Amino acid sequence: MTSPVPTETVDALQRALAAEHAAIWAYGLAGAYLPAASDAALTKGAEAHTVRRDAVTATLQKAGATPKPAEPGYSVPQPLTNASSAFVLLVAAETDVVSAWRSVLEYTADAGIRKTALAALTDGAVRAMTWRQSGGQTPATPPLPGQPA
Amino acid sequence: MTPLLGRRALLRLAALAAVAAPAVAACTTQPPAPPPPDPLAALADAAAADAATARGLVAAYPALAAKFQLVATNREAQAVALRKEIDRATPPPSTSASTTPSSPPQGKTYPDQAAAVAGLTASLGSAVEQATRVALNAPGYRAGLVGSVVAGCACLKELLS
Repeated sequence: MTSPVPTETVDALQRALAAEHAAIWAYGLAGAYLPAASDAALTKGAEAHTVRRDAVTATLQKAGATPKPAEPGYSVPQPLTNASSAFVLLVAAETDVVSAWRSVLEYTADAGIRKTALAALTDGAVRAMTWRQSGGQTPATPPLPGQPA
Repeated sequence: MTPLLGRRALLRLAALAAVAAPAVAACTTQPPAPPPPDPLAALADAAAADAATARGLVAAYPALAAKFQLVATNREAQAVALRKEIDRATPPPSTSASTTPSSPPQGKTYPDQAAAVAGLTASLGSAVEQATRVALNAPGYRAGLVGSVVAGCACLKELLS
C-alpha cells in the first residue's frame, strides 16, 4: 500500500467507473441502430471506454476499494427505435462520462489521477461532439463540457 | 542542572523571538507587494482574444460561418466563466472595476480562409496546453473549471479540423 487515497477521491472514481460501465452498455446497444458509416467511431469509442473502465478498476483496487460492478441494464434518455435515438443515447452516455471525470479532477490532488481524469474528460467531450454532429444536434459542443448546469 | 536551565533559557529565547520577530518585521517591511496575477487571468485573456478573432472571421468567411460562430460563442463563455472565478477568488476593489480588460481585445485577421483556420486552430492548441498546465496544478474546484476549458478548446479545435 502506498499513500492512502482520500475517500472523496475513491467516491469520485467509483462514479467515473459507473459512467464507464454505462457507456460500454450504451455503445453495445446503439450499434444495432446506427448506419455503417458510424462503425469505426463506434468501435473506437467502445474500446476507449473499455480501456478506461479497466484502468479505473485497477486504480480503485490499488486504493483498497472494491470497484462497483456494472448494472444489468440502464435507463435510456428516449426509446431506442432508430439512428437518431441511438445518437441521443451515445451523447447522453458521453455527457455522463465527461461529468464524472470532471468531478474526479475536482476531488483529487494526485498528479497521475488528475492526468487520467483530464484525458478522459477531453476524449469524452470530443466523442460527444462527433455524435452530436452525426445526429444533427446543435450546438455541436457546450463551452465547458462537464460543467454542472 | 545546567542542561535543564539551558533548555528553559532556550525556550524563553524562542518565545521572545516569536513575539519579537513580527514586531521587527512590522517596522522594517515595505507596504505589501501587489498580489501575483491570478493564473486564470492569462487563460481568460486568451479566450477573449480567440472570441474576438472568431467573431471577425464569421463575416469574412461565410462558408465556415457556423463553425467560427461556435468558436466565438464558446470562447466568450469560457472567458466569462474564468473571470467570474477570478473575481470570486479576489474580489475587485469596487463593483465597477472588475477584471474585465479596459479595452476589448483586438481579433487577428488572416489573408485567406485556410490561414484563418490554421491560425485559430494553433491558438486553440496553445490554449489546450496552457489550460492543461493550470488544470493539473490548481486547487479542486478550479481544476474542474479549467479542465472543462481544456475539453471545450479540444472540441473547438476538432470542429475546425
